[in-house]
Amino acid sequence: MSTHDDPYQGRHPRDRAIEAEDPMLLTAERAPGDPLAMLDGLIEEYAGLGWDGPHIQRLFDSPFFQGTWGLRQRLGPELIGSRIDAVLARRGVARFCTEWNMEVLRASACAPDTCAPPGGSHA
Amino acid sequence: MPKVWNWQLGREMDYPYEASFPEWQFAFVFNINRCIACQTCTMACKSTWTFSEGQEHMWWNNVETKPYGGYPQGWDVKLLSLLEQANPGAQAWTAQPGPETAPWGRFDGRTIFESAGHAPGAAPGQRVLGYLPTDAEWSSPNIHEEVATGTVRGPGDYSGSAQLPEHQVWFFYMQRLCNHCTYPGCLAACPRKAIYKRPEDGVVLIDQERCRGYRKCVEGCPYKKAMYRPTTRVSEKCVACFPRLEGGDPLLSPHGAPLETRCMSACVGKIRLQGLVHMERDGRWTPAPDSPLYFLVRERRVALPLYPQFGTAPNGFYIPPRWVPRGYLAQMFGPGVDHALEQYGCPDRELLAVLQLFRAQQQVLFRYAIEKGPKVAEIEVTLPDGSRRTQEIWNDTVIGFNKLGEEVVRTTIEEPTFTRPREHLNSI
Repeated sequence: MSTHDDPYQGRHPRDRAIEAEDPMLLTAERAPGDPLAMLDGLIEEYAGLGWDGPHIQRLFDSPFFQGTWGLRQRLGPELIGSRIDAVLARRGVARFCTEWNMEVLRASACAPDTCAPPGGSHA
Repeated sequence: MPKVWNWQLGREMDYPYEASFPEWQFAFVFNINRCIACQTCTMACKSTWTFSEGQEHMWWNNVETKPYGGYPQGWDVKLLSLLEQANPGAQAWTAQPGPETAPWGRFDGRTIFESAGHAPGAAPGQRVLGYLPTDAEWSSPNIHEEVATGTVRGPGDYSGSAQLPEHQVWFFYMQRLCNHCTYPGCLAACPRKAIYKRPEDGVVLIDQERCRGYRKCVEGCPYKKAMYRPTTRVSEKCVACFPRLEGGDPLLSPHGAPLETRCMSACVGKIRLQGLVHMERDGRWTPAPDSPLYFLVRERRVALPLYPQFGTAPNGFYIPPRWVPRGYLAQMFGPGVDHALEQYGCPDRELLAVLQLFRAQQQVLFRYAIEKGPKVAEIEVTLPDGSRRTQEIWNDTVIGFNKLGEEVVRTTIEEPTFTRPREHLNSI
Protein backbone atom coordinates (compact mmCIF):
# COMPACT_ATOMS: atom_id res chain seq x y z
CA MET A 1 0.00 0.00 0.00
CA SER A 2 1.38 3.38 -0.89
CA THR A 3 1.15 6.32 1.49
CA HIS A 4 -1.41 7.73 -0.95
CA ASP A 5 -3.80 4.90 0.01
CA ASP A 6 -2.84 4.88 3.66
CA PRO A 7 -5.41 6.80 5.72
CA TYR A 8 -2.83 7.11 8.48
CA GLN A 9 -0.27 8.63 6.13
CA GLY A 10 2.46 6.49 7.62
CA ARG A 11 2.01 7.92 11.08
CA HIS A 12 3.12 5.85 14.01
CA PRO A 13 0.18 4.32 15.96
CA ARG A 14 1.02 6.42 18.99
CA ASP A 15 0.38 9.58 17.00
CA ARG A 16 -2.99 8.56 15.63
CA ALA A 17 -6.29 9.77 17.01
CA ILE A 18 -7.94 7.83 19.84
CA GLU A 19 -10.81 5.63 18.72
CA ALA A 20 -13.21 5.12 21.58
CA GLU A 21 -14.64 1.84 20.26
CA ASP A 22 -11.22 0.15 20.29
CA PRO A 23 -11.30 -2.15 23.36
CA MET A 24 -7.52 -2.57 23.40
CA LEU A 25 -6.78 1.13 23.56
CA LEU A 26 -5.41 2.45 26.80
CA THR A 27 -7.74 4.83 28.54
CA ALA A 28 -6.19 6.09 31.73
CA GLU A 29 -5.63 9.20 33.73
CA ARG A 30 -2.26 10.51 34.60
CA ALA A 31 -1.42 10.04 38.23
CA PRO A 32 0.55 12.75 40.00
CA GLY A 33 4.15 11.96 40.70
CA ASP A 34 7.67 13.29 40.62
CA PRO A 35 9.92 12.09 37.78
CA LEU A 36 12.96 13.62 39.47
CA ALA A 37 12.36 11.39 42.47
CA MET A 38 12.25 8.43 40.11
CA LEU A 39 15.46 9.58 38.45
CA ASP A 40 17.29 10.05 41.74
CA GLY A 41 15.95 6.76 43.03
CA LEU A 42 17.27 4.81 40.04
CA ILE A 43 20.67 6.52 40.19
CA GLU A 44 20.96 5.77 43.91
CA GLU A 45 19.98 2.15 43.36
CA TYR A 46 22.64 1.53 40.77
CA ALA A 47 25.28 3.49 42.66
CA GLY A 48 24.36 1.22 45.56
CA LEU A 49 25.03 -1.78 43.33
CA GLY A 50 28.52 -0.49 42.61
CA TRP A 51 27.92 1.16 39.24
CA ASP A 52 29.97 4.30 38.58
CA GLY A 53 28.86 7.39 36.66
CA PRO A 54 29.70 6.25 33.10
CA HIS A 55 28.00 2.90 33.67
CA ILE A 56 24.86 4.53 35.03
CA GLN A 57 24.90 7.01 32.17
CA ARG A 58 24.78 4.13 29.71
CA LEU A 59 21.45 3.01 31.15
CA PHE A 60 19.99 6.33 30.08
CA ASP A 61 21.61 6.36 26.65
CA SER A 62 19.99 3.24 25.26
CA PRO A 63 16.31 3.00 24.30
CA PHE A 64 16.38 -0.65 25.16
CA PHE A 65 16.37 0.21 28.87
CA GLN A 66 12.89 1.55 28.68
CA GLY A 67 12.52 3.28 32.02
CA THR A 68 15.78 5.16 32.01
CA TRP A 69 15.43 6.03 28.33
CA GLY A 70 11.99 7.44 29.01
CA LEU A 71 13.39 9.68 31.71
CA ARG A 72 16.07 10.93 29.33
CA GLN A 73 13.47 11.67 26.67
CA ARG A 74 11.43 13.65 29.14
CA LEU A 75 14.10 15.43 31.13
CA GLY A 76 16.93 15.79 28.61
CA PRO A 77 20.44 14.33 28.65
CA GLU A 78 22.02 17.36 30.36
CA LEU A 79 19.80 17.10 33.39
CA ILE A 80 20.39 13.35 33.57
CA GLY A 81 24.15 13.89 33.59
CA SER A 82 24.03 16.59 36.22
CA ARG A 83 21.78 14.51 38.49
CA ILE A 84 24.12 11.53 38.20
CA ASP A 85 27.02 13.75 39.21
CA ALA A 86 25.07 15.26 42.10
CA VAL A 87 23.89 11.94 43.49
CA LEU A 88 27.32 10.32 43.22
CA ALA A 89 28.98 13.33 44.84
CA ARG A 90 26.59 12.98 47.76
CA ARG A 91 26.59 9.23 48.32
CA GLY A 92 29.53 7.87 46.30
CA VAL A 93 29.64 4.51 44.56
CA ALA A 94 29.26 1.48 46.77
CA ARG A 95 31.97 -1.15 46.70
CA PHE A 96 31.72 -4.81 47.60
CA CYS A 97 33.94 -7.82 47.46
CA THR A 98 32.16 -11.12 46.94
CA GLU A 99 33.77 -14.51 47.43
CA TRP A 100 32.19 -17.83 46.61
CA ASN A 101 32.95 -21.00 48.48
CA MET A 102 34.81 -22.86 45.78
CA GLU A 103 34.77 -26.15 47.64
CA VAL A 104 31.00 -26.22 47.37
CA LEU A 105 30.98 -24.85 43.85
CA ARG A 106 33.71 -27.18 42.58
CA ALA A 107 31.57 -30.10 43.59
CA SER A 108 29.03 -28.81 41.12
CA ALA A 109 29.27 -27.83 37.48
CA CYS A 110 29.63 -24.22 38.52
CA ALA A 111 33.32 -24.39 39.30
CA PRO A 112 35.07 -21.24 38.16
CA ASP A 113 37.02 -23.03 35.44
CA THR A 114 33.79 -24.14 33.79
CA CYS A 115 31.63 -21.06 34.25
CA ALA A 116 31.74 -17.73 36.00
CA PRO A 117 30.36 -17.56 39.53
CA PRO A 118 26.75 -16.42 39.47
CA GLY A 119 26.36 -12.69 39.29
CA GLY A 120 29.97 -11.97 38.30
CA SER A 121 32.47 -10.09 40.40
CA HIS A 122 31.86 -6.82 42.18
CA ALA A 123 35.38 -6.32 43.36
CA MET B 1 -17.42 -22.08 55.46
CA PRO B 2 -14.34 -22.79 57.63
CA LYS B 3 -12.47 -19.92 59.26
CA VAL B 4 -8.73 -19.56 58.80
CA TRP B 5 -6.28 -17.03 60.21
CA ASN B 6 -4.76 -14.67 57.66
CA TRP B 7 -1.81 -12.86 59.26
CA GLN B 8 -1.59 -10.44 56.37
CA LEU B 9 -5.13 -9.25 57.08
CA GLY B 10 -4.80 -9.43 60.85
CA ARG B 11 -7.99 -11.44 61.22
CA GLU B 12 -9.81 -14.67 60.54
CA MET B 13 -11.42 -15.05 57.15
CA ASP B 14 -13.65 -17.48 55.30
CA TYR B 15 -11.95 -20.11 53.14
CA PRO B 16 -13.56 -23.15 51.51
CA TYR B 17 -11.16 -25.59 53.21
CA GLU B 18 -9.73 -26.06 56.68
CA ALA B 19 -6.29 -24.53 57.16
CA SER B 20 -3.39 -26.84 56.38
CA PHE B 21 0.21 -25.75 56.22
CA PRO B 22 3.36 -27.18 54.65
CA GLU B 23 6.55 -27.82 56.59
CA TRP B 24 8.46 -25.37 54.40
CA GLN B 25 6.97 -22.64 52.27
CA PHE B 26 8.38 -21.39 48.98
CA ALA B 27 8.67 -17.60 49.27
CA PHE B 28 10.53 -14.74 47.67
CA VAL B 29 11.37 -11.06 48.04
CA PHE B 30 11.64 -8.76 45.03
CA ASN B 31 13.23 -5.32 45.23
CA ILE B 32 11.18 -3.32 42.75
CA ASN B 33 13.51 -0.34 43.04
CA ARG B 34 16.21 -2.05 41.03
CA CYS B 35 14.24 -3.57 38.17
CA ILE B 36 14.79 -2.16 34.67
CA ALA B 37 12.49 -4.63 32.90
CA CYS B 38 15.23 -6.41 30.99
CA GLN B 39 12.87 -9.42 30.93
CA THR B 40 15.70 -11.91 31.43
CA CYS B 41 13.62 -13.63 34.10
CA THR B 42 10.68 -13.79 31.72
CA MET B 43 12.71 -15.44 29.02
CA ALA B 44 14.47 -17.80 31.43
CA CYS B 45 11.07 -19.11 32.50
CA LYS B 46 9.65 -19.14 28.98
CA SER B 47 12.56 -21.08 27.55
CA THR B 48 12.38 -23.62 30.36
CA TRP B 49 8.70 -24.32 30.78
CA THR B 50 6.35 -22.74 28.23
CA PHE B 51 7.93 -23.06 24.81
CA SER B 52 5.56 -25.66 23.39
CA GLU B 53 2.48 -25.62 21.24
CA GLY B 54 -0.51 -24.21 23.05
CA GLN B 55 1.68 -22.31 25.49
CA GLU B 56 2.38 -19.35 23.23
CA HIS B 57 0.34 -16.97 25.39
CA MET B 58 1.72 -18.30 28.69
CA TRP B 59 4.18 -16.21 30.65
CA TRP B 60 4.42 -17.83 34.07
CA ASN B 61 6.87 -15.10 34.95
CA ASN B 62 6.26 -11.67 33.50
CA VAL B 63 7.35 -8.12 34.18
CA GLU B 64 4.73 -5.47 33.57
CA THR B 65 4.76 -1.71 33.80
CA LYS B 66 2.65 -0.06 36.45
CA PRO B 67 0.35 1.78 36.69
CA TYR B 68 -0.83 1.13 33.14
CA GLY B 69 0.49 -2.26 32.14
CA GLY B 70 -0.86 -5.65 32.99
CA TYR B 71 -0.81 -9.27 31.91
CA PRO B 72 -3.53 -10.20 31.32
CA GLN B 73 -4.67 -6.74 30.45
CA GLY B 74 -6.02 -4.84 33.45
CA TRP B 75 -6.04 -7.90 35.74
CA ASP B 76 -5.69 -6.02 39.00
CA VAL B 77 -7.90 -3.08 38.15
CA LYS B 78 -10.67 -5.44 37.11
CA LEU B 79 -10.55 -7.46 40.31
CA LEU B 80 -10.31 -4.37 42.51
CA SER B 81 -13.36 -3.09 40.70
CA LEU B 82 -15.27 -6.34 41.31
CA LEU B 83 -14.37 -6.23 45.01
CA GLU B 84 -15.57 -2.65 45.20
CA GLN B 85 -18.86 -3.61 43.54
CA ALA B 86 -19.32 -6.45 46.01
CA ASN B 87 -18.58 -4.30 49.04
CA PRO B 88 -18.98 -0.64 48.04
CA GLY B 89 -16.90 1.87 49.95
CA ALA B 90 -15.84 -0.60 52.63
CA GLN B 91 -12.60 -2.10 51.32
CA ALA B 92 -10.51 -0.41 54.00
CA TRP B 93 -7.90 -1.10 56.66
CA THR B 94 -7.67 -0.23 60.31
CA ALA B 95 -3.96 0.27 60.01
CA GLN B 96 -1.77 0.08 63.06
CA PRO B 97 1.48 -1.78 63.66
CA GLY B 98 0.73 -4.92 65.57
CA PRO B 99 2.18 -8.24 66.69
CA GLU B 100 3.44 -10.98 64.41
CA THR B 101 -0.10 -12.27 63.90
CA ALA B 102 -1.33 -8.89 62.63
CA PRO B 103 1.72 -6.82 61.67
CA TRP B 104 -0.08 -4.14 59.68
CA GLY B 105 -3.39 -3.94 61.53
CA ARG B 106 -6.70 -5.29 60.35
CA PHE B 107 -8.36 -5.40 56.95
CA ASP B 108 -12.03 -4.54 57.45
CA GLY B 109 -13.16 -5.20 53.88
CA ARG B 110 -14.01 -8.46 52.17
CA THR B 111 -11.61 -10.88 50.49
CA ILE B 112 -12.23 -12.67 47.20
CA PHE B 113 -13.59 -15.61 49.21
CA GLU B 114 -15.91 -13.49 51.32
CA SER B 115 -17.10 -11.53 48.28
CA ALA B 116 -17.97 -14.61 46.23
CA GLY B 117 -21.52 -14.38 45.00
CA HIS B 118 -21.90 -10.77 46.12
CA ALA B 119 -20.80 -8.99 42.96
CA PRO B 120 -23.46 -8.16 40.34
CA GLY B 121 -23.77 -10.98 37.83
CA ALA B 122 -21.96 -13.54 39.98
CA ALA B 123 -22.59 -17.15 38.99
CA PRO B 124 -24.59 -19.29 41.44
CA GLY B 125 -22.36 -21.33 43.70
CA GLN B 126 -19.34 -19.15 43.07
CA ARG B 127 -16.61 -19.94 45.64
CA VAL B 128 -14.15 -17.24 44.71
CA LEU B 129 -14.77 -13.79 43.29
CA GLY B 130 -12.99 -13.52 39.97
CA TYR B 131 -13.33 -13.23 36.25
CA LEU B 132 -12.16 -15.07 33.16
CA PRO B 133 -9.92 -12.91 30.96
CA THR B 134 -10.64 -12.92 27.24
CA ASP B 135 -8.22 -14.35 24.70
CA ALA B 136 -7.37 -10.81 23.62
CA GLU B 137 -6.42 -9.87 27.15
CA TRP B 138 -3.93 -12.73 27.33
CA SER B 139 -2.47 -12.15 23.91
CA SER B 140 -0.42 -9.03 24.50
CA PRO B 141 1.78 -9.37 27.58
CA ASN B 142 3.40 -5.99 26.98
CA ILE B 143 0.38 -4.03 25.92
CA HIS B 144 0.42 -0.47 27.22
CA GLU B 145 4.00 -0.81 28.22
CA GLU B 146 6.56 1.40 26.62
CA VAL B 147 8.66 -0.32 24.01
CA ALA B 148 11.20 1.41 21.85
CA THR B 149 9.56 0.92 18.48
CA GLY B 150 10.55 4.05 16.60
CA THR B 151 13.06 4.51 13.85
CA VAL B 152 16.74 4.16 14.65
CA ARG B 153 18.25 6.74 12.32
CA GLY B 154 21.84 5.68 12.52
CA PRO B 155 24.46 4.11 14.73
CA GLY B 156 23.85 5.35 18.25
CA ASP B 157 21.10 7.73 17.16
CA TYR B 158 17.90 6.64 18.84
CA SER B 159 16.20 10.01 18.75
CA GLY B 160 13.26 8.70 16.75
CA SER B 161 12.40 6.01 19.29
CA ALA B 162 8.99 5.86 20.80
CA GLN B 163 7.60 6.16 24.27
CA LEU B 164 4.04 6.25 25.47
CA PRO B 165 3.02 9.63 26.88
CA GLU B 166 1.16 7.97 29.71
CA HIS B 167 4.43 6.99 31.32
CA GLN B 168 5.91 10.44 31.43
CA VAL B 169 5.29 11.10 35.09
CA TRP B 170 6.25 7.98 36.98
CA PHE B 171 6.06 4.28 36.61
CA PHE B 172 7.72 1.17 37.85
CA TYR B 173 8.16 -2.42 36.85
CA MET B 174 6.22 -5.17 38.56
CA GLN B 175 7.71 -8.65 38.45
CA ARG B 176 5.11 -11.35 38.79
CA LEU B 177 4.86 -15.09 39.07
CA CYS B 178 2.64 -17.45 41.03
CA ASN B 179 2.71 -16.45 44.69
CA HIS B 180 2.17 -20.05 45.84
CA CYS B 181 -0.37 -18.60 48.23
CA THR B 182 -1.09 -19.99 51.66
CA TYR B 183 -4.81 -19.89 50.79
CA PRO B 184 -4.76 -20.22 47.00
CA GLY B 185 -7.69 -18.84 45.04
CA CYS B 186 -7.07 -21.36 42.26
CA LEU B 187 -7.20 -24.27 44.70
CA ALA B 188 -10.38 -22.98 46.31
CA ALA B 189 -12.08 -22.52 42.96
CA CYS B 190 -11.26 -25.91 41.45
CA PRO B 191 -14.41 -28.10 41.44
CA ARG B 192 -12.36 -31.29 41.00
CA LYS B 193 -9.78 -30.78 43.72
CA ALA B 194 -7.12 -31.05 41.05
CA ILE B 195 -4.97 -28.36 42.66
CA TYR B 196 -2.90 -29.01 45.75
CA LYS B 197 -0.16 -27.52 47.90
CA ARG B 198 2.84 -29.76 48.36
CA PRO B 199 3.36 -30.47 52.07
CA GLU B 200 7.15 -30.33 51.75
CA ASP B 201 7.54 -26.86 50.23
CA GLY B 202 4.11 -25.26 49.79
CA VAL B 203 4.38 -25.20 46.01
CA VAL B 204 0.93 -25.07 44.40
CA LEU B 205 0.53 -27.54 41.54
CA ILE B 206 -2.20 -28.65 39.17
CA ASP B 207 -2.66 -32.41 38.83
CA GLN B 208 -2.74 -32.73 35.07
CA GLU B 209 -4.56 -36.07 35.30
CA ARG B 210 -7.41 -34.74 37.41
CA CYS B 211 -7.77 -31.38 35.63
CA ARG B 212 -10.55 -31.24 33.06
CA GLY B 213 -9.95 -27.71 31.91
CA TYR B 214 -13.00 -26.03 33.44
CA ARG B 215 -10.85 -22.91 33.91
CA LYS B 216 -12.25 -22.20 37.36
CA CYS B 217 -8.67 -21.77 38.55
CA VAL B 218 -8.05 -19.19 35.84
CA GLU B 219 -11.12 -17.36 37.05
CA GLY B 220 -10.34 -17.76 40.73
CA CYS B 221 -6.66 -16.86 40.84
CA PRO B 222 -6.68 -13.14 41.64
CA TYR B 223 -3.17 -12.74 40.20
CA LYS B 224 -4.16 -14.54 36.99
CA LYS B 225 -1.28 -16.97 37.16
CA ALA B 226 -3.22 -20.11 36.30
CA MET B 227 -3.51 -20.45 32.53
CA TYR B 228 -5.47 -22.63 30.17
CA ARG B 229 -3.68 -24.59 27.45
CA PRO B 230 -5.99 -25.18 24.50
CA THR B 231 -3.92 -27.97 22.94
CA THR B 232 -4.11 -30.22 25.99
CA ARG B 233 -7.38 -28.75 27.30
CA VAL B 234 -6.12 -28.52 30.83
CA SER B 235 -4.74 -25.66 32.90
CA GLU B 236 -1.11 -25.07 33.78
CA LYS B 237 0.79 -22.78 36.10
CA CYS B 238 4.19 -21.97 37.56
CA VAL B 239 5.70 -25.03 39.22
CA ALA B 240 8.34 -23.06 41.17
CA CYS B 241 11.00 -25.00 39.23
CA PHE B 242 10.46 -27.78 41.75
CA PRO B 243 13.22 -30.04 40.43
CA ARG B 244 15.68 -27.27 41.32
CA LEU B 245 13.93 -26.60 44.61
CA GLU B 246 14.26 -30.25 45.53
CA GLY B 247 18.00 -30.10 44.98
CA GLY B 248 17.65 -32.66 42.25
CA ASP B 249 19.88 -30.99 39.70
CA PRO B 250 22.90 -33.32 39.46
CA LEU B 251 25.11 -30.68 37.87
CA LEU B 252 24.41 -27.61 39.95
CA SER B 253 23.50 -29.26 43.21
CA PRO B 254 25.25 -32.61 43.55
CA HIS B 255 24.75 -32.69 47.33
CA GLY B 256 21.04 -31.96 47.13
CA ALA B 257 20.98 -28.34 48.33
CA PRO B 258 17.89 -26.50 47.02
CA LEU B 259 18.50 -24.17 44.09
CA GLU B 260 16.71 -20.96 43.23
CA THR B 261 14.23 -21.06 40.37
CA ARG B 262 15.24 -20.18 36.83
CA CYS B 263 13.66 -16.74 36.96
CA MET B 264 15.42 -15.92 40.24
CA SER B 265 18.83 -17.15 39.21
CA ALA B 266 18.70 -15.31 35.87
CA CYS B 267 18.00 -11.89 37.40
CA VAL B 268 20.51 -9.39 36.04
CA GLY B 269 19.50 -6.51 38.26
CA LYS B 270 19.92 -8.53 41.45
CA ILE B 271 16.42 -7.72 42.59
CA ARG B 272 15.43 -11.24 43.65
CA LEU B 273 15.96 -13.29 46.77
CA GLN B 274 14.23 -16.64 47.06
CA GLY B 275 13.91 -18.82 50.09
CA LEU B 276 12.06 -21.54 51.91
CA VAL B 277 10.58 -20.45 55.22
CA HIS B 278 9.84 -22.99 57.91
CA MET B 279 6.26 -23.07 59.14
CA GLU B 280 4.71 -24.19 62.41
CA ARG B 281 1.68 -26.47 62.43
CA ASP B 282 -0.56 -23.46 63.07
CA GLY B 283 0.75 -21.58 60.04
CA ARG B 284 3.08 -19.19 61.82
CA TRP B 285 6.53 -18.71 60.35
CA THR B 286 9.01 -20.33 62.70
CA PRO B 287 11.00 -17.45 64.19
CA ALA B 288 14.37 -17.45 62.44
CA PRO B 289 16.01 -14.04 62.71
CA ASP B 290 19.06 -15.31 60.80
CA SER B 291 16.94 -16.34 57.78
CA PRO B 292 17.18 -13.62 55.11
CA LEU B 293 13.50 -13.89 54.24
CA TYR B 294 12.31 -13.93 57.83
CA PHE B 295 14.45 -10.91 58.54
CA LEU B 296 13.16 -8.90 55.58
CA VAL B 297 9.49 -9.87 55.76
CA ARG B 298 8.68 -10.56 59.39
CA GLU B 299 11.33 -8.83 61.47
CA ARG B 300 12.00 -5.62 59.53
CA ARG B 301 8.79 -5.65 57.48
CA VAL B 302 10.61 -4.05 54.59
CA ALA B 303 9.01 -6.37 52.03
CA LEU B 304 5.24 -6.50 51.60
CA PRO B 305 2.70 -8.86 50.02
CA LEU B 306 1.07 -7.94 46.70
CA TYR B 307 -2.59 -6.99 47.16
CA PRO B 308 -2.97 -8.61 50.57
CA GLN B 309 -6.64 -7.57 50.57
CA PHE B 310 -7.37 -10.33 48.06
CA GLY B 311 -7.02 -12.69 51.02
CA THR B 312 -4.93 -15.49 49.56
CA ALA B 313 -1.90 -14.75 51.80
CA PRO B 314 0.57 -14.66 48.90
CA ASN B 315 4.15 -15.73 49.59
CA GLY B 316 5.74 -13.23 47.24
CA PHE B 317 6.87 -10.02 48.92
CA TYR B 318 8.00 -6.74 47.41
CA ILE B 319 10.18 -3.87 48.54
CA PRO B 320 8.05 -1.01 47.19
CA PRO B 321 9.48 1.57 44.77
CA ARG B 322 10.52 4.75 46.48
CA TRP B 323 9.25 7.28 43.94
CA VAL B 324 5.63 6.19 43.58
CA PRO B 325 2.73 8.09 45.22
CA ARG B 326 1.90 6.54 48.57
CA GLY B 327 -1.80 6.14 47.90
CA TYR B 328 -1.10 3.92 44.93
CA LEU B 329 1.41 1.85 46.88
CA ALA B 330 -0.93 1.50 49.85
CA GLN B 331 -3.62 0.08 47.61
CA MET B 332 -1.13 -2.36 46.11
CA PHE B 333 0.85 -3.42 49.17
CA GLY B 334 -1.33 -2.52 52.14
CA PRO B 335 -0.70 -0.21 55.05
CA GLY B 336 2.89 -1.26 55.69
CA VAL B 337 4.28 0.89 52.89
CA ASP B 338 5.43 3.88 54.96
CA HIS B 339 7.32 1.72 57.41
CA ALA B 340 8.93 -0.34 54.63
CA LEU B 341 10.11 2.69 52.71
CA GLU B 342 11.49 4.38 55.79
CA GLN B 343 13.54 1.27 56.51
CA TYR B 344 14.71 0.83 52.95
CA GLY B 345 15.48 4.50 52.30
CA CYS B 346 18.18 4.56 54.96
CA PRO B 347 19.12 0.97 55.80
CA ASP B 348 21.02 0.28 58.99
CA ARG B 349 24.09 -1.94 58.93
CA GLU B 350 22.25 -5.26 59.26
CA LEU B 351 19.67 -4.46 56.61
CA LEU B 352 22.37 -3.17 54.27
CA ALA B 353 24.28 -6.41 54.75
CA VAL B 354 21.26 -8.63 54.08
CA LEU B 355 20.42 -6.65 50.94
CA GLN B 356 23.76 -7.80 49.51
CA LEU B 357 22.50 -11.39 49.49
CA PHE B 358 20.11 -10.73 46.62
CA ARG B 359 21.23 -12.89 43.74
CA ALA B 360 24.54 -13.66 45.36
CA GLN B 361 24.24 -17.38 44.72
CA GLN B 362 22.16 -19.93 42.84
CA GLN B 363 21.67 -22.03 45.95
CA VAL B 364 18.80 -21.04 48.20
CA LEU B 365 20.15 -19.25 51.26
CA PHE B 366 18.65 -20.50 54.51
CA ARG B 367 20.80 -18.58 56.98
CA TYR B 368 23.09 -15.63 57.11
CA ALA B 369 25.71 -14.37 59.54
CA ILE B 370 27.48 -11.04 59.75
CA GLU B 371 31.12 -10.50 60.65
CA LYS B 372 31.27 -6.95 61.88
CA GLY B 373 33.93 -4.48 60.79
CA PRO B 374 34.70 -0.81 61.45
CA LYS B 375 32.66 2.10 60.17
CA VAL B 376 34.12 3.26 56.86
CA ALA B 377 31.84 6.05 55.68
CA GLU B 378 28.83 8.21 56.27
CA ILE B 379 26.76 9.15 53.24
CA GLU B 380 23.78 11.39 52.79
CA VAL B 381 20.64 9.68 51.46
CA THR B 382 17.29 11.08 50.38
CA LEU B 383 14.22 9.57 51.96
CA PRO B 384 11.03 9.21 49.89
CA ASP B 385 9.53 12.28 51.55
CA GLY B 386 12.46 14.34 50.29
CA SER B 387 14.19 14.65 53.64
CA ARG B 388 17.86 13.81 53.99
CA ARG B 389 19.40 11.39 56.45
CA THR B 390 22.90 10.15 57.15
CA GLN B 391 23.53 6.50 56.45
CA GLU B 392 26.46 4.76 58.08
CA ILE B 393 28.50 2.31 56.01
CA TRP B 394 30.29 -0.45 57.92
CA ASN B 395 33.00 -2.76 56.66
CA ASP B 396 30.80 -5.75 57.45
CA THR B 397 30.88 -9.15 55.79
CA VAL B 398 27.62 -11.01 55.24
CA ILE B 399 27.88 -14.77 54.83
CA GLY B 400 25.19 -16.94 53.24
CA PHE B 401 24.62 -20.61 54.06
CA ASN B 402 22.67 -23.23 52.10
CA LYS B 403 20.25 -25.78 53.54
CA LEU B 404 23.09 -28.16 54.38
CA GLY B 405 24.70 -25.47 56.52
CA GLU B 406 27.54 -24.96 54.06
CA GLU B 407 28.85 -21.47 53.51
CA VAL B 408 28.29 -20.67 49.85
CA VAL B 409 28.96 -16.95 49.56
CA ARG B 410 30.36 -14.01 51.51
CA THR B 411 30.17 -10.37 50.54
CA THR B 412 32.14 -7.61 52.22
CA ILE B 413 30.92 -4.04 52.14
CA GLU B 414 33.79 -1.65 51.55
CA GLU B 415 34.34 2.07 51.67
CA PRO B 416 32.41 3.77 48.85
CA THR B 417 34.28 5.48 46.03
CA PHE B 418 33.91 9.21 45.51
CA THR B 419 34.96 10.68 42.19
CA ARG B 420 36.20 14.22 42.04
CA PRO B 421 33.62 16.40 40.19
CA ARG B 422 34.46 17.37 36.62
CA GLU B 423 35.09 21.01 37.47
CA HIS B 424 37.73 20.04 40.03
CA LEU B 425 39.67 17.52 37.97
CA ASN B 426 43.45 18.14 37.90
CA SER B 427 43.15 21.06 40.26
CA ILE B 428 46.70 20.72 41.54
